[in-house]
Amino acid sequence: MDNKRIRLEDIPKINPVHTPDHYFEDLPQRIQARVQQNPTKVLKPHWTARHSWLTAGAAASVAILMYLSWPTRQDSIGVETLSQLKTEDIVQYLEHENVSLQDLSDTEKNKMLIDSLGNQPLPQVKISNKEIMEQLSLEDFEDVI
Amino acid sequence: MTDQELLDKFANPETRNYAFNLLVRKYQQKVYGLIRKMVIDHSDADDLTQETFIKVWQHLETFRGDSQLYTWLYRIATNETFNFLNKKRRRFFLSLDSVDHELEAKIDADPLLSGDDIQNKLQKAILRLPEKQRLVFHLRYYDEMPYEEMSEVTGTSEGALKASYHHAVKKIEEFLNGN
Repeated sequence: MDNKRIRLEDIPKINPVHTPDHYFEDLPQRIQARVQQNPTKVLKPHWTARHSWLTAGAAASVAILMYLSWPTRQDSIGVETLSQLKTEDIVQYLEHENVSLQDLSDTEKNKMLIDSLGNQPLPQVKISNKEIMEQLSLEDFEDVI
Repeated sequence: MTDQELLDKFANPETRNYAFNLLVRKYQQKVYGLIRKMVIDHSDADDLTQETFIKVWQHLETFRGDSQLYTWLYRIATNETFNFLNKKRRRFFLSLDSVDHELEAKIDADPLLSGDDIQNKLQKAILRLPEKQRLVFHLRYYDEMPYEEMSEVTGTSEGALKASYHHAVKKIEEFLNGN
């Protein structure tokens, strides 16, 4: 009895589907023609409550950064900005502001340095009198002295 | 041409139409074959195949490559097919059995289906399966698709698909022996 049973594996596996002649030759053209009337969809942003929170967070971050950087930008003058000025212009500006060269050299920092030296010779400089006199003669400073 | 090369060419607006044409030529027989076996009627299968490829055209840019291109195509094709069968049932207030009987009648009437007696009987047996199980059977039996890829197409676990196919074969053999 079992021997007469039809089993799926006994049936030849053939493709049951047939198409009209030239069907697969024409199909791409027909699809292409329809596709020209259906341009690819552009994804539009979908606004959600999550987007709103993200946007608010980003805006707050920008505001905090601007607040923190604003005083720094006001007080600082870049080296590049100063380097673009001529020396004469700087001197003219200082004169206009009644700042003399003496004032510039007499800053608190310079004063402290000078005071710390006192009348003592620089300890690191080991130059003999003979060497000094030789250097003066080379620089033609004898007349000045 | 590999699927990746097709996708690269599709991404370029200058070669998009060319790439799409190649894609259609590469997969049209598989997509049509699956749809045709599900809906039986050639003109319905023709419409659904075109709709499938139009959807592919519209959404291929969003294809992320998480699955293989052809399993993605099959997923679109099966969605289109199930939507079509559901609409047909709703439109004519038909039950599942009525639709299956209508399709069964088409098997006898359609000259484009193999007329061999046992093949004819096999097609009728397959039509007795629930739609999703019928899809599982076609993918496994005719397309010899691995269960892993079937899982990508159907969104069902491999274990469930194996069980479904096993039961489908039993039901078909019962029908073949009972008639």
